[in-house]
Amino acid sequence: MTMRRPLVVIAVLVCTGIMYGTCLCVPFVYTYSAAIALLCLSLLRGEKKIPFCDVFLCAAVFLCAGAIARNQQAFSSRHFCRYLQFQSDDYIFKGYVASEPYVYAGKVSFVLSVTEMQQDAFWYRCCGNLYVCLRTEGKLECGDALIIKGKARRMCGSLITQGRDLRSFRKFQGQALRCTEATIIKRHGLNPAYPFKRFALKFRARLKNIFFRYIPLPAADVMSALVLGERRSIPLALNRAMVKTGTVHILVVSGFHVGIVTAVLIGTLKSVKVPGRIRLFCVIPALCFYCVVVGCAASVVRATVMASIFLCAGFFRREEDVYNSLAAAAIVILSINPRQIFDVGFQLSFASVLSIAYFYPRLSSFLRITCVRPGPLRYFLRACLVSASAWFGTMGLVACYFRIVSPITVIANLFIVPLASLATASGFLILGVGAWCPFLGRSFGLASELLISLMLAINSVFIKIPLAYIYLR
Amino acid sequence: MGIFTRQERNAIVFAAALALLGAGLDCLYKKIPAARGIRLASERQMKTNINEADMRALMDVPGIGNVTARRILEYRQRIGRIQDLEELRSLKGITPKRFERLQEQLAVE
Repeated sequence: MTMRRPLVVIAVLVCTGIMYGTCLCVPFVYTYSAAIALLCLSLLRGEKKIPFCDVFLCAAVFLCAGAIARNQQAFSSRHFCRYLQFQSDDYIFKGYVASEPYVYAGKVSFVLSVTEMQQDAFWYRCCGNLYVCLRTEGKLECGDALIIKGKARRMCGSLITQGRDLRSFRKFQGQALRCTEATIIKRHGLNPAYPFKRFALKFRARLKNIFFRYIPLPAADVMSALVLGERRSIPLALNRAMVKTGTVHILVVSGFHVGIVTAVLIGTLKSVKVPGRIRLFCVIPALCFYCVVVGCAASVVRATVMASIFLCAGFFRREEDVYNSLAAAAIVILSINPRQIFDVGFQLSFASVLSIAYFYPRLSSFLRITCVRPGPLRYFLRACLVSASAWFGTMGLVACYFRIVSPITVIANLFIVPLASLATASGFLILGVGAWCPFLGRSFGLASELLISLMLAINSVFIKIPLAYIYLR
Repeated sequence: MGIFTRQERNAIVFAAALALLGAGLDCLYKKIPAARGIRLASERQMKTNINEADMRALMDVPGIGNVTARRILEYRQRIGRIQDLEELRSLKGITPKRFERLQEQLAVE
């Protein structure tokens, strides 16, 4: 008997293995040895099936994921932390800017991928990520090679972000330390390993300029978040307002955006009579590029992997399965960074899709939505069910991380999500025509501003309804 | 049999409707500048209302920590209602430079 959804089983084993490896203090050697032993046992099939062969294989996958997660927790022997003594002296670090620098209030913050550090007049080759915040006159870009001087400190444990303190948040992003009172001693070229990411970030900056050219502030900031995933320019007050109504997910690039990009690309290639196979080989890399441009968040990586699987399924005449595709996306993300399983964005993204995929068909058949007439009422009820299904799956996580419950979520999403969808689609139109037709760019920009303003106005109305949101202690 | 598929037709209709809406808005804003009032509603959402914000909302504003938030709440309790953001300059700990940054994040309603 063959399993219908093998990837789901593997994904569950990988997730539980990562949690086992991260949360339980079993030494790496024991986990690793057990994984190898079980893998060897599972391979001893021969002509006669050995009992529990598949159980050994599952256990091997589980322990393998645990070993990888456990290994990732430990610093390597060359990590710069091993050379630090946390005295008041300044250290000198040499490395490359590994993230997009963020400028705020005259300071720029970024992650420095350290390659060397100096201590007592000696240079040590090392590795590791360091969070840096400093004042600088010049503009920094991803990939810039820097030598900086500053004090190494542990992350502050008191600040709260995404429902957890900053120290554990940064730890799960691979940044154990921060550099304070930092100054740049020297800039010496570019890291040749970063050209693609650098190009993607420059491309994103150009697209963002198109929005700022045609859409007035503050709607341009919201549009940048809707289409390009640039959420850092969204004021906290607006973010908080949307968390209260449970509609903050519209500010995250996800499946809808990937769907628009896919539809536009396929439609364009079809119109110029590109054959099906070549279309596939054009669309999937374009989706991957879009994923890098918007920052490779868990939600957009999930959507990109699922879209790629669905496209390939159609091409290879295989049956699509949303659970298998979701599992494949989880395996891809966790194989790159197992710590993502603890990221709230990862959890919410997968929980919402899973709950929609599970609850919506059941609720739809139970309530016999297909028999409802007229068509607009049926469409409205379907939208209600999708919103309710997503709410069921994410309510617990939102309550846990953000300490808030929003009963108004289902109704608020019915109004705000369609407006956000129209605004997102108009945003893509602006990007498509704004570069070569200023008149159309301006028209689309004003229409987008109206849609975004309506969306925010409706959000502000919903917040004022009694018991729209309840803070948990 | 038409030239366009159903999806292509919907996309073209959407783009045309959006362009017409934008052109109409442009004309309206030129004739009646007060029609841009809806933008003010969205701008208000971008800022924290100093008269309604609780401790948590105040501490979310970059530049306001635990101590400053408490001082603002005590001041608000004392005078009842803040009429102008300039009143914050009189609070201890709010320097002119800090006030400039807070002005972008706070609003009085």
